Amino acid sequence: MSAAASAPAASEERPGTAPAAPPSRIRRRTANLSVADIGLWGIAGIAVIFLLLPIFFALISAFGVNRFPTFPPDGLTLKWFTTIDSSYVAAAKTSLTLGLVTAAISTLLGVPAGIALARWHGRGAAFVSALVRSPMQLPYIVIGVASLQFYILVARELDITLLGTIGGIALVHAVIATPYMVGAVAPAATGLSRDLELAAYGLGASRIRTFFTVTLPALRSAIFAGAVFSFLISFDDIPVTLFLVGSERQTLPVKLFFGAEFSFTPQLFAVAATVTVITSVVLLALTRVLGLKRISGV
Amino acid sequence: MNHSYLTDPNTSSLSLSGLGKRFGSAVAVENLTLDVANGEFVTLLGPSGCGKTTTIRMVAGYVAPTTGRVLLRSRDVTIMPPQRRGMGMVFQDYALFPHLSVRDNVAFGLRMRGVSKRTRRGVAEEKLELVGLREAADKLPAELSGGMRQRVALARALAIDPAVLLLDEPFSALDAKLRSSLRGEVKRIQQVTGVTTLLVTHDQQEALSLSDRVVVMRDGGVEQVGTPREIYERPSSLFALDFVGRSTRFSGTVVRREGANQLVCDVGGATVHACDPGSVQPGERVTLAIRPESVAVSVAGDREGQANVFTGVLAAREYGGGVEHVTVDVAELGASVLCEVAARGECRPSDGSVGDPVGVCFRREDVIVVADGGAVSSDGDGVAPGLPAATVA
Repeated sequence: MSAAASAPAASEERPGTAPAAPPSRIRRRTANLSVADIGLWGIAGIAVIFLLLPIFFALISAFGVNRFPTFPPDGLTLKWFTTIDSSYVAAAKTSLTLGLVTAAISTLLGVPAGIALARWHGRGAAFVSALVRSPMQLPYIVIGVASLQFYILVARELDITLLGTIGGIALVHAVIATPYMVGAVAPAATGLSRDLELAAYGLGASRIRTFFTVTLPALRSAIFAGAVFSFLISFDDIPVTLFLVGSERQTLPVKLFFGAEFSFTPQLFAVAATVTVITSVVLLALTRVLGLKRISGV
Repeated sequence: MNHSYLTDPNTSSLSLSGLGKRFGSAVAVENLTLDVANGEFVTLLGPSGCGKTTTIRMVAGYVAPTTGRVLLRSRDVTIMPPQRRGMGMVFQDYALFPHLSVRDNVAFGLRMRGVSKRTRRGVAEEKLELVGLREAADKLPAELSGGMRQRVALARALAIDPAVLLLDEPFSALDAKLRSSLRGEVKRIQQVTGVTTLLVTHDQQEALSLSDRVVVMRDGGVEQVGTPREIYERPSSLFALDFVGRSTRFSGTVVRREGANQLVCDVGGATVHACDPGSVQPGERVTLAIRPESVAVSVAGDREGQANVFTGVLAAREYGGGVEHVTVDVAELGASVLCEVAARGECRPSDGSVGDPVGVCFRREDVIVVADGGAVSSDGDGVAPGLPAATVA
């Protein structure tokens, strides 16, 4: 967003210098570019501050001694971390499990769907593509209510309990996460040369083997990005989960939400701070391991 | 095809018989028959849309033919999947596996064949040595230049000891200088390995310099098959003449035959002497053509009395480094004759300037004769009767 905003500014300056002779134009252009660069970095900086400031305040509040969040705090302490209720740890475990199961389901559904949509140009392709992406357009509250009613129906008619179970919640999370997986994989699969697979066939690889040894590895960064997205969508979700959790099993965001509603304490900030740090570290590590290091073949 | 030694089914490595492919109502390839001898380097040459790429993909097994058969060492492989054909293909975009190192790319085919890790490592090293990229074995394709990628693709195709090496426009993504050096490299490797090779290209230079035989294709069919020399010096049709090399064309009529293979032709009143072992008869309409490098430029009136000496006016000079292109307007022939002369050295042209009278002459053996009957180009570049046209292809 910030990059797009600064680009027109840079191009607006150029016409004024256009009539100049070639050598000086080159000099002026470099000067323009550096002005644009400064603008770009400035706007990027503002965007980062805008995005990270709330997290910064949450982190500060987690270490503040005040019973009610005050800025700046009157002193720093770790006591809110040591008094985190064990129910938060249980909720975090639930959220983690849900996130992983959701990522797994959305990978299993979204990767084949993304590849198929990238290669299918026949009649109805645009319609199916829109259908696959449609959960992104529905308000999450609506999906939550609809799922609740559907699960009540399933429980009554088929005697299958999905409400409040990991599987039941993960299935609905996968509904909202899979379009993101498709959105990550389809463009990458479109950009993949078909010759890559033909080359593998020619070298003796069966279709299935080619899919696993050539196509999937070539798409792995898109799949990884989609899986991380799916995990985070599930891990963050309140509006859908709110309708599906029972009183005995809660997810971390839902528990924090109720905590903020009914017992606003600095422990909430401590929990939030811990989760933020852990997810950041894990994400960075995963990017390093899966994104940059190649998977060795022979 | 008068190359019986190249079409003997006993030594032929690859045979295409009556091969055809339709996409809906569009004909991509029609009734193509070709035998490639063991160890031979054959090139399919033609403009885009002539069916050459469809043909090589049918040979590889990526496209199923509508009609005809593909025989590999006398075995019918027409419906055999590409996995079992054992062809080594180098793609236009190389199609290297981006997530595998150079070594793993080269060893991929052997890995799919269940060859032990130790053996395939050895073969990969050997093939990389052959293409001169041994030190790049641990790099990823993205870290290589275009020329290096092309060589990796070649090593990967050779690693499976292919029945036929298929090269689909392998040089088209490279710049001119690299292209010519890699061309030499490919020729050397082909000769060292003795692998039967089928190349697809639209670049006549590639076809002429690499091939044992060239197949000129047009609109899904074969226009001419011959050695590079035959294709260049004795094109059998106007299309082949125009597509390969440059020439100046005259339209004329055969006046009489002299001896076994000499022709005397009338071109708008002027007499042109030519050689033709073929069957054109007196009275027949023919297109005569002369390659720029076959034309000598001299002082006007210098060689009076010899055959094929004409006087004209120097119309343009174009300096091209090693050679110079000189255009001479010859009123007698009603054409602008394109001449290519060495820009330096003993045979340097006289330093005439534009507007000066100059003479042009060419040997009768160098005149290309194409009979107009049935072979006239239909693309609108046919020569109008009595109106000789200069063509720069």
